[in-house]
Amino acid sequence: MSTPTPDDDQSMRDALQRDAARVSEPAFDAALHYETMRRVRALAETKSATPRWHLAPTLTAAAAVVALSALIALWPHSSAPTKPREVVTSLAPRTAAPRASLLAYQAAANDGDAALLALLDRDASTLLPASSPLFNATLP
Amino acid sequence: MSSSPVDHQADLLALARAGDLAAFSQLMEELQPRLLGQALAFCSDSQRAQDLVQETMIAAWKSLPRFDGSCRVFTWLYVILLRQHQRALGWFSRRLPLATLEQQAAAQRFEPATSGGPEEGGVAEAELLRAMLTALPARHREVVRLRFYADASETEIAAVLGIPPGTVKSRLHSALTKLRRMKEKVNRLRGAAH
Repeated sequence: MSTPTPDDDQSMRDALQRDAARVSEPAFDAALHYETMRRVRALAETKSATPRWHLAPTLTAAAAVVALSALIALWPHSSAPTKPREVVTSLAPRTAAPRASLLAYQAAANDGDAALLALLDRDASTLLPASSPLFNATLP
Repeated sequence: MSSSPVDHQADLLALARAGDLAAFSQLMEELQPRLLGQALAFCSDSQRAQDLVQETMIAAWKSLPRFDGSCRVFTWLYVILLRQHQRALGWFSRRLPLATLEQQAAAQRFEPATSGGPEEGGVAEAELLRAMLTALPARHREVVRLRFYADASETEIAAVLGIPPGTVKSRLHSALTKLRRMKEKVNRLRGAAH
């Protein structure tokens, strides 16, 4: 394969210049110009007469795009994996006091209502929070 | 006061950019014949060429605010014309299969310049050259047309296309090399056909 020389390009340049010189300019086409300018004028008038509320759909669409982008940008943060929660192995807290036995209830009943209610309250507090309204309610 | 036609056109352009329709009309009136001639050169159909020129001028009016005056008005209009033409043709404007060109050459459609009179040979050569131009990739074709048909300088082409001057040079060189190779191939086919 032969190595191209600048003369090779020059011959193509000459051919293109000859062809460009062959392109003739037709006479001015008044009808074409009139029709073109009629369309340009209509375009200019439409543009100047466009009320501002025509921008509303564009602005709404832009706002929607911004909101969507923000949502997408924030999405990974809100759904990022947090520290894994500790697995609850038992419902009762490990430090809770053991509940009273049947014998303890019988003994408390022998001691009177106050002792029995106190025992019941203590056991209930291990299952319900101290703020539960149950503890504030008056007995019938 | 403006002296050269280019300055005069730049003045009209400045007025048109300010919304002066009469100035725009005068500018288009002055440039229409040259633009139409170029459109006819690559359309060959006068109705299509007229449509192309009209669409070009309307597109020019729409994009007037974006024109920064870094090149001549005609060069800027010529780029719009090329892009409108490319858009109108769609996919087919990107690359005419070289095979078509080769088939045409093989069918001796492009007779050598020596077979007829000088005028006939010149027309056939021009037809071949334009077919080869169509076969170039769009970015190469654009640079060649701007350089040779719109008579734009490499600096001007760089400004209007928004590419570095070095890229213009390399595209031009690639385009000329491709054209030369195509011509060599067509000449070989012609030789084989005779």
